Amino acid sequence: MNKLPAIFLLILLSCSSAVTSYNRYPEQTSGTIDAILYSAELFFISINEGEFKTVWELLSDKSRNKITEEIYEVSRDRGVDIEKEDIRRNFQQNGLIARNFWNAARAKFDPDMVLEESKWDIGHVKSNSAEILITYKKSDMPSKVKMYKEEGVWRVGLVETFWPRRYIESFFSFLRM
Amino acid sequence: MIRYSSVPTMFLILSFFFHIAAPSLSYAEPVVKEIDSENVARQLAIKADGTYIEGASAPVLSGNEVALPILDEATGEVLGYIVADQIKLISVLNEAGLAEVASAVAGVSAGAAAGAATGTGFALGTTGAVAAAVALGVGVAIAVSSGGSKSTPSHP
Repeated sequence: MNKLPAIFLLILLSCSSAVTSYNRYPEQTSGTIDAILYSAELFFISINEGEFKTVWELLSDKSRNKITEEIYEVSRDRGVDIEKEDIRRNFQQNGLIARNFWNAARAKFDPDMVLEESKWDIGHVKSNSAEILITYKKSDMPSKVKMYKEEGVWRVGLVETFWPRRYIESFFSFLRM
Repeated sequence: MIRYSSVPTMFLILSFFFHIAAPSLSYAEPVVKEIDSENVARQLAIKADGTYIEGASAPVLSGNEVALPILDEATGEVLGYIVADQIKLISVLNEAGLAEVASAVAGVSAGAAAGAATGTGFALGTTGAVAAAVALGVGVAIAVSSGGSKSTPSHP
């Protein structure tokens, strides 16, 4: 029996399946990409407009933990009787600590440089993580802003993206001493 | 919006109301207790080896001083400022049971560092972090200007 037609048919069916899958993938990714970009954009808009409660809600868990920890450490170093949970609750409720933290951050970083003066491109997209490539108009290299899907919401990995720079700069600053 | 130019001339956007203290953090629900009068603000300033300056005009700061505005609860009007060394003021606020205010003062430096890292990251790009850090050093200021292009659906 000639097996060639059967093999040909099998190959044809495999290709058809692959094409179907390929066609389906962009539709799913497109909705995901929109969700990722929406969260990131809303994050920076919220910083700009002083909606710090939304900013906190759009931060990744690791970022929230790190910021809480840093304020806790600097507070305790200065003898302040405060617990991490108090700080975290303060950020959740946009309290005094939160407002001062974000206003101080906003004084050093203008969100418009990201919202109005940068080019946005999508990097890799996985089920629970993604990257947005944001290239500031005066920069030759993009920033790979890390995004994480937590509890069904895409959140900004502010610490994951930018804190390594702080450690590197501190290290080189130490070397230059 | 108040922008901080540097730590020595840092103004805190703290609202320390004339007749209301910062809520206590010892309870599940915030508990607001009244404080006596403007004299309390003066006493805090003295304890922090600082001064209480009357009036709404922002005082000139030096060194590691911070200016904590005192507001009239009813009108929101600035009645004066406690001007003191940041570290001493934090300690005094904490001793007075105002831990939230003290932590807010302490947390400003963490916020400034976070903002600087973010701004530098965008200006230089995170993909070239190491090389840029060596070339430009710590704490590069970011110049903001107009214009730019966008290529994603969210930025048509």
